[in-house]
Amino acid sequence: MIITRSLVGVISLLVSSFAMAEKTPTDWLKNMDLAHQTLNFTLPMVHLEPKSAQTYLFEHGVSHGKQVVYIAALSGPVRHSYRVDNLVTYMEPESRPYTINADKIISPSPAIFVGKTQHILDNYSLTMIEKGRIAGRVTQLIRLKAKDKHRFNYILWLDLETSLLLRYDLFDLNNNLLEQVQAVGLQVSELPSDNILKLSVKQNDETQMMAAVPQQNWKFSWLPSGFKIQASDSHRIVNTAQAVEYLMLTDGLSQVSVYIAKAGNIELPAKLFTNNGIAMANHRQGQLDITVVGRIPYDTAMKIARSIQPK
Amino acid sequence: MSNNKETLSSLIDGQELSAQQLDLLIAQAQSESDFERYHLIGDSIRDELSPAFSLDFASKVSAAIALEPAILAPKKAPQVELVEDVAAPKGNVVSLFGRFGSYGIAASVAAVMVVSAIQIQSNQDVEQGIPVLQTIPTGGYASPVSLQTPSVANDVQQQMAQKERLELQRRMNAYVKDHLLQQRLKSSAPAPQE
Repeated sequence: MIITRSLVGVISLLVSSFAMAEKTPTDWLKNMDLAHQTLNFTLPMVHLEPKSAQTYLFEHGVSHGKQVVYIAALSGPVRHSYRVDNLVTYMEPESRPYTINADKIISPSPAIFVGKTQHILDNYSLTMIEKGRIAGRVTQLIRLKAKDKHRFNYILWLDLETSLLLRYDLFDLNNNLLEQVQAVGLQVSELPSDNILKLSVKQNDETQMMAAVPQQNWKFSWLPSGFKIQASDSHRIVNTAQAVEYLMLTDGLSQVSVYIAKAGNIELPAKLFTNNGIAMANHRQGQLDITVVGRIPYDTAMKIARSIQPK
Repeated sequence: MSNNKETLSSLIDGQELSAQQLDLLIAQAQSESDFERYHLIGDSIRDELSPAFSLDFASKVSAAIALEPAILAPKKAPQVELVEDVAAPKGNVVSLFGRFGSYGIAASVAAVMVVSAIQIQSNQDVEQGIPVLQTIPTGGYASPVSLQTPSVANDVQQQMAQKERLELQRRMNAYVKDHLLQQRLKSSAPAPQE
């Protein structure tokens, strides 16, 4: 009996040490997931895009059984957002605070890959590259290379000790850097910070957004692999108040907006880019203007625009 | 009947009528509404409609917009001065739309602006090239966008082209902003089925 037990012990020890030695990119992603959901940490960071840099504070903690994430811009106008379990609140100078029922904050964040392991494995091939140093800590680099030409590539820097993501770079198909989020420090602590504690017990009394009423008038004859329809509705475009039918596509990491509007007097240019890699494809189809906006390769956006059809 | 309308019309136009014709008009209920309608038509032709009329129109528009699926429970948000305001059509419809707050939210999502030249077929002076949208960071200070306008100001055709360009810029900006806003609003949707 004792022999059997010790044998099991030895085998499990062997297996675990083997796993330690051969930690795969998938293991890294899973560890990152866990770390980003359980640890209490504070992470000041820089968000870089071509011609812009902004500093943020990122905090995460678990308090009173609730997961709390807090992101605040450290320079310029006061902007912050926080998530308590599935309620995300945005507080910004231009509008009243508002809350959305969502599982993530849309903002530059080291947590954008959390919970996306399956999406990543489906759409990217992962390679461990070298080791690097970020925020004074040793990190493992992992390259996410898209399996097709329909999405952009990432490199991730994961902390060797905690598995937290300390940096990511986003590159377009020509290897131009589109975006970088980089930690400049990391504090992991036993207990959640005062701020996290306060947010976890705070009564949420902000204006809550209503869920949109979906419309089902359109379908796609083609979509890039991995992309699904995430949401749809009919709404009016901000600023112009133009009425559109709307569909949002996602592959888990990037969101793509598809707009169907009545053709206007002037046709929008077919090809447009922002300098941080958002492509806009405009396609006129009879009496309709189809507009596709998203951080995806332009050719893919145009192909999506051409493949929409009424149900 | 048509004879009646004719006499009514002449009455409104200020022609004198016989007592018999007047009696006939008064006797008919139909002529009452005709009378009102003719005056209304006359007023609108002379551009003398009372403000009450357009106010009624505005409230109807606002009621119609209120029936649209509201994105946000209405709360008045302080409006930031956006570059797009320059080109925004003046009128009740747009300002009413602002009541719903999405205007204010949009401004906070990102100040993404088109600054480069956009080629329009009708304007040969615009420099050719691939149009590029440029972004200004969310947290940064959005400085007003200035268009490279043609120097000959009194050329009507160029002014038209510039107006078109502003309109195009406004629409492109709006799409990018709406995309950023929708990412927030639609992140509530359940993850796509595997």
